[in-house]
Amino acid sequence: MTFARRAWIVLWKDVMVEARSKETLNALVFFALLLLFVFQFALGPDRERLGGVLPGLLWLGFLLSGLLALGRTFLVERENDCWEALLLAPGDKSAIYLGKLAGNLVLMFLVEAFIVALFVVFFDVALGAALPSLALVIALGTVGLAAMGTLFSAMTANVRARELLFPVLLLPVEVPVLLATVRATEAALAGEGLGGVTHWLGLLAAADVIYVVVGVLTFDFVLEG
Amino acid sequence: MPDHWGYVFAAYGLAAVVLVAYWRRLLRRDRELTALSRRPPTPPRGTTATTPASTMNQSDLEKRSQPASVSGHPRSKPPSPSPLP
Amino acid sequence: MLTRWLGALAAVALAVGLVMGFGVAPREASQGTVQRIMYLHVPSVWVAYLAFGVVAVASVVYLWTRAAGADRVASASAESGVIFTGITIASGSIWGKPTWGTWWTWDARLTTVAILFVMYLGYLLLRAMIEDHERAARYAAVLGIVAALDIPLVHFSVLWWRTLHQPPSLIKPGAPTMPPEILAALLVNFVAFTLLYAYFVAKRVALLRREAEALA
Repeated sequence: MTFARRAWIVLWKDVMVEARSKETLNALVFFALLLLFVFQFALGPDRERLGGVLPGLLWLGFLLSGLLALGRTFLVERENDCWEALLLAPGDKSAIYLGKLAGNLVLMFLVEAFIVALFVVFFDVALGAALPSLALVIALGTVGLAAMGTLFSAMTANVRARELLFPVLLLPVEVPVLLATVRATEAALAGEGLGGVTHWLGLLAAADVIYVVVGVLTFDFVLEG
Repeated sequence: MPDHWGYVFAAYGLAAVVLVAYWRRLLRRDRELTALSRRPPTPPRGTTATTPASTMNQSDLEKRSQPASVSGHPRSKPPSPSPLP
Repeated sequence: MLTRWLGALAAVALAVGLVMGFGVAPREASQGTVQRIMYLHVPSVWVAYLAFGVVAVASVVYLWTRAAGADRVASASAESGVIFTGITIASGSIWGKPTWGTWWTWDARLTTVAILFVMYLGYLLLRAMIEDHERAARYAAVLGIVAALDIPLVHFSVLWWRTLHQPPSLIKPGAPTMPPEILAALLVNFVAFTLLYAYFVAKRVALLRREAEALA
């Protein structure tokens, strides 16, 4: 069984499980909606003031939803006594990492699309021409989030205070991604296009590569018996 | 720019306090381990007693002391004399 | 024992460093006496980065060889690293108050160091929370490598954040032209702090080894 096939099987299993119950997706969507209310209440009705912080708010929404979503990556295995099955899986465990990463990306993209739609509705954001640029930034940023999120989720899966430890570990590591994506989103939403922020995009791409490579190389050590 | 000796002393003083506190914790741990090794041979594993971590808990560097005694390192034996069967 | 000599040497070097910093080095014109905090702040940050470099290398060595010694070095170095990073931040903040008028500023370097601090606190927290020693060592090693690789990304992202789109709103003190006395005081303190770090790590590693043996 090839590496790619094993990764695909993990992805397919997770998609199937989620598609049947839709438990995680529903909860995340609901959470995103609540977040939006909270943002609005916390920041007041002043539309002018909101305009300036919208890119930051958007990524705050992605980040908070991401913490929830990514933290649950191995929940299915853990709760159903399948953790040992992961440990005993033959071959390179990195296939599991990539399968889980792909699953997380699918989940995150769905939630993020929903959040963007909410922003358009609630904050009157003019997307239009900015959509391709925005999509690119979101794609790059989400890979950066999910790559380390998947790794740390495995590491904290069996720890006592995982809900606490997981964000504590993930957030500092994601600072570069956050800084880069917010700056790039600013440029995209302002209609300037991404020409002026190529250095940020470069940083994002570099971060993505480093994170995924590290994830692939170290996952074997995390899932050792 | 006027002299701000207060700030200078505050900075150096704080650093000194932290470094000396860490150093003293190291020394204390050293003494405990030495005392431990001079005990009569190992008490039975089933011994339940407070670990040396308890003495370190008083310090406000408790979080940093965790790796010393709790983190997955096997629990050290208590400094008190072992209860013999 | 070697460690004891190292400690004594460190103590002597620190004393010399203090003398250099307060006695030999002249009072700097633009910032006044507060500038002397530099002899504490800058060597601290140097040791902090050194410590985390050691964590990264020891982590790689541990994953490669599974030598318990490498794990102990990583653990000890991370402890010292967190301490010196804390001292860096505190001394930088105290330096900043009279110089820039504020306890904290999102200055590129301070911010990077603050993130470094939180990362390695997380590292210690991870070690503390996993009971199984072997697993803790493995996971900590992975985290140590991730953190080290992330530092350049953090550095550049924070630097660009602070400089490319907003000019610094506070005038940073210009790099002092370095009279030889100031440079000498700095170097002596570099050496002293590095010796102190080495002493701490050596002592801590020995303690960890004895703890492990105590249960064998």
